[in-house]
This record gives sequence, C-alpha cells and structure tokens, in this order.
Amino acid sequence: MKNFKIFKGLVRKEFLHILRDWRSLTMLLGIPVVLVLLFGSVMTMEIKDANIAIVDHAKDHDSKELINLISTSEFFKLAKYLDTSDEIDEEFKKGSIRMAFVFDKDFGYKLHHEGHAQIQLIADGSKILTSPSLISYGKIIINQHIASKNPPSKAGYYIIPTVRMMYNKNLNGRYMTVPGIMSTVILLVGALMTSLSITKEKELGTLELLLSTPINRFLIMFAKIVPYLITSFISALSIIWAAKYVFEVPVSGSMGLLLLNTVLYILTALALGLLISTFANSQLTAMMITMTLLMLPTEVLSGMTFPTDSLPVVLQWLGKLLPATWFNIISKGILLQGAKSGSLWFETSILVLMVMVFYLWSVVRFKPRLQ
Amino acid sequence: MLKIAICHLPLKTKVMNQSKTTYSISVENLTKKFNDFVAVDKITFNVQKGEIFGFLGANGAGKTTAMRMLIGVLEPTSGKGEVASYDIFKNSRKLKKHIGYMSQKFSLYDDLTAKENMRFFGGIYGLTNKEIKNRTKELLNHFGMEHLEKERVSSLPLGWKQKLAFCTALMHKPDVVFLDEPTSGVDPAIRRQFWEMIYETAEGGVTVLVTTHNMDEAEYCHRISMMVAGKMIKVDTPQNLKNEYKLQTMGEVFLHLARGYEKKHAITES
Repeated sequence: MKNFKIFKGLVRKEFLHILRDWRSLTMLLGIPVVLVLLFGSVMTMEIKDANIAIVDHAKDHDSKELINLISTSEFFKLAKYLDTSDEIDEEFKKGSIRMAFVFDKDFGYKLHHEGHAQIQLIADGSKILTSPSLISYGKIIINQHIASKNPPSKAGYYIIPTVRMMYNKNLNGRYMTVPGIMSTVILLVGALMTSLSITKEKELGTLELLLSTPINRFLIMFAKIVPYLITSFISALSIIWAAKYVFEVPVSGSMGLLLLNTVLYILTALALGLLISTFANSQLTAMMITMTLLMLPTEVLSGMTFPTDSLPVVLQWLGKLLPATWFNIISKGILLQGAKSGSLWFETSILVLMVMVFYLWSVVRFKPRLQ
Repeated sequence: MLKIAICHLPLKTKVMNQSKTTYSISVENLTKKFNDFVAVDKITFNVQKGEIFGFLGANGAGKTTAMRMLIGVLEPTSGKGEVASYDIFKNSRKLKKHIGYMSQKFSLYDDLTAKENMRFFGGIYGLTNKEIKNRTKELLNHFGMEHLEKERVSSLPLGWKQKLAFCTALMHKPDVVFLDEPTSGVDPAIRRQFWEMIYETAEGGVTVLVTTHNMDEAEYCHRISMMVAGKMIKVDTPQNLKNEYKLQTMGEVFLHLARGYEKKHAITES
C-alpha cells in the first residue's frame, strides 16, 4: 500500500510536468486535433465537377448527344472545346483540364453503319490518384448511354472507349514519390538542420560570444548555411540519380532546369531554417516549430500525398504558402510532362519571391544585439 | 593572499599618475529597460587603465545586463558609455576589436581542441596565421597549459576550461577584458590560480572588469561597485568600504548595504 501511495505521487508529478509544458500539451492535444481535421477533410477524395475538354471531330447528332450527357453529369464540367488532340498536352500542363474525350470524325456514321465506334478517353497520367477514377466515371456514363440506346429488341450501338494515360502510360506511382521525397529530404537537411545548428549555439552561449566580436552578423548566418547547402544539393543529386537508374523514372524535361529549381528550393529551405532559428531559443523548440509548422503541413498540403485539387479550398490556399507545393509542381512538370524552360516561370518566380522574403525577414530579426 | 596584497600597491601609484581623460571605461547614467522592468538603473562609474574593477551584487541585480551593454551585445535604453575610448552606441564594431569577453557559460567550442579554439577566435579578430601561432604558444606556455594544446575542450575539467577561455579572450591583446562570473562552480585552488592570471594581465596594462557574487573575490579587486536591483549604490576600494562600515569582510559589507537598501526602499514605498 505504501508503494501505491508513492506511485500516485509520481503519477501526479508527471501530470503536472505535462500540463505546465507547452510543448507536451501541443503534442498531446494540438497535433491530434489538427491531424484529424486535416485528414478528415482531405480524405474525401470524391470527384465532382472535374474540368474536362472535348475534341469533337464528328460534330454529329450522336456525338452531341453523348457530349450532353457528359457535360451535365455531376462528375464532369465541360471547360472547353479543343480543335485537335495535340492541344490536350498543353491544357494538361496548364492544369486547366484533367481529362479529355476525343470523337473521331466518323463517330456517328460508324455507329449507324457498323454498329460500333470508338471514343478516346485521355487522362493526365501524372495525377495517379484521380485519373483512374475519372476514367471510370467516363466509362460509366458511356455504358449508361449505351444501355439506354440498346433496348432488348434492338442491338448494335456500341461505343468502345480506348483509354490513354498521358505522360505515364502505366500509372507508375513513383513519379509522384520522387518529387515528394526530394522536397522532404531538402526540408529536413536544409531547414531542420540549419535551425538546430543556430539554436544550439544560442543554447551553449557561444552565439553571444561571437556577437561580442567585431565579426559581421551576416557572415555568421551565411557560414551556417554553407555546409547544409552543399549536403542538400548532394542529396538531391543522389535522389535524381536513383530516380533515373533505380526507379526508372526518367527526366523527360530539361535536367538543367530541374537542377536550377532544386537549388532554388534548397535556398528557400535554408532561409526558412534561419527564420525559424530567430524564433526559437532552444533546439527543442526549433525542432518542434520545424516539424509542426513546416514538415507536417508539407506532407499533407503540398500535393505529395494528396492531390491539391481534392483538398478543400481553404487548405489549398494554405498549401500555397509552402515552398514545397510550388517545387512539387515544378519538378513534376519537368520529370513527367517534359516541361522546358519557358513554361514554369510563374512557379519559379514564386520560389524566388519566397527566398527573398524569408531571408530579409531573418536578417531583420537576426539582430546583432540579443534582446 | 600575500601575493595578491602586494599586487595592490603598484596600481595605486599608477592610478595617481593617470589623467582623468584616459579612462578605460566611462559610463554615465546607463539604463536598460525591458518593457516596464528596469534591469539597469542609471549607473555611473569610471575605470582606469590596468584597473581590476569588480561588479558585485546578488543574482538578478543587473550585473550581467550591464556588462552586455558594454560589450555591444545589448542595446542600452539610455545613457552614455565609452569603452577603450569608443562610444558603445556609435562605434560598437570598432569597440569590439579592442575588448575580450568571457561569458558565464564558458563558451569555448566543446568539440574543438584548445588550439583550434584559439585559432578560430584569433582569425575572427583578424590576426595573421603567424600571429595566431605565436600568440597561442605564448599564452599557453605563459600560463602553464602547453600540454592542453591538442586536447578537446569537452575532456577538460571546469577549471582548465575557464583558464583556457581567458587565454582565448586575450588572443588579440585587447585593452579591456570583461569576465562574467569566471570562477563560479570552481574550487578555491583553481580560483586562486585564475586570479593570479588576472593580476598578471592587469599589470600588463589591460583593464579587467569582473562580475561576481563571491565576496572573497571582491577583496581581490582594486575597486568594486555594488549593484542592488539595477542601481549602483556604492563604488570604492574594498578597504575603504570595510573601514567606512567598520566591518571585517566584504561579505558583511555586502549584506549591510543590500539590507540597508532594501529597508530604505521598503520604507519609501509604504
């Protein structure tokens, strides 16, 4: 019985520790709540009003009938008519459509004279989570249409869908993972390690000593960044190499552009690491801030695990604040869609802007006189 | 104690001969406020070249805050200050070239050796490789630490670490050295050795400003100041203070002054 009393005393102390430590409270209460909210809202991977395009070479009654069914279905939203199939590539790259239906010019003729005709369903192979579903919905509509056209007595109106996954014939999942791995690893080495290194000096008191010397504060900052810049770049290179030779994910676009943007993203991660270190006074705090405010949102909102368009709008906008989101768009564009120098300028300039903002902010906060 | 008592004598003559305009440290109404909290409250004092000046006070009295303002690491709220004839507000960069600092946390890099630490700090102060090499040798030999050259700082006992940190602070031959509680947590033997190092340095013309709440160390200083709740309530030699209050030790002087201040303060408040 005496032991039990002692035990109770110990347990009480443990509870007090937790209640009085904001970090433990965050871990115990804050994070699970956030996760449930995030994953709960993200898990609804239904597809509604997906933007699609139609390429109608037939322009006859039959094609128009089917097009009408497609465009009025809840799954699809007819975004535009295209003149040729060649335009589909560009539309996918722009992200304006996720699927296209292509009717051959003798669609109606073949249906009435031969009893069957083809329709092409072309989906964006880089969106491996949603494209199979989109294709299925397309087929469902077609089959429903066929069924309505083919009452038991009369036969012979078959529309045969042929499916094509653009960029990614076999729906290779690794296309998605490679950019995702790169963005995570770079955040880990660049942001986390940098912030830990600076806060370590704060903890030890060596930072104060450095500040009492005539050394320029910028030099201190940049000296901290250089080793992590180099190691992140080497990691990124090895990931790209592994992607090409081990995972068979070739770089269809410009390698030079990919490397350039990788360096840009690394600089952003480093700047974030610096910025976080100006807010944290201990390594533990730095780690918690980096994990909960940077890495966790990146996992969920940047498009690595869940496609950004299946997220609620609010979360999509939050995701846009993360550099990883833009880097994923850029690297997927280069790896899969074969993007070359001109097309990703918008995303690249966003990264450039982020680098500048984060650096300026940390410089302003990294005062030479510790408050 | 004998050696130290003897050391008191030469400085008195030096002090007499110096003119008033060559103060090593000169501070007037220096104040630091953190929002509403006044950490340092209008302190005024001067320190001669080659003097060992002690900052006494209890924990939280404002000694460390005051020192941090003088080394250019903390921005003062108001007042005036000059260290090594450089203004602490306007010329802090130049000021830093002429001062050395040893912080309370004994901040030498643990995973570097003694020599590497000294090379690093020498480099920061702009010494050439040759100068660094010579100076490292000179300092380590002079203070009997040659055998520590290649040792990692983490493997050294506390006393050696501080002595090493002191040497590192002297690499660039500063005019003023600031020591923040350099001997806290250290045994009396090492403390004595450390103070002998301080004396040698001061005799060489380097001004030493030391914060401490160890009253024995107060006896070792040429002059001391007493800080209570951010205010500097007394500045004088240890002997004068003991005579004034007719007490035997600095510890008693401190208690008398601190208690006296608190009583007075409480009375005016109520």
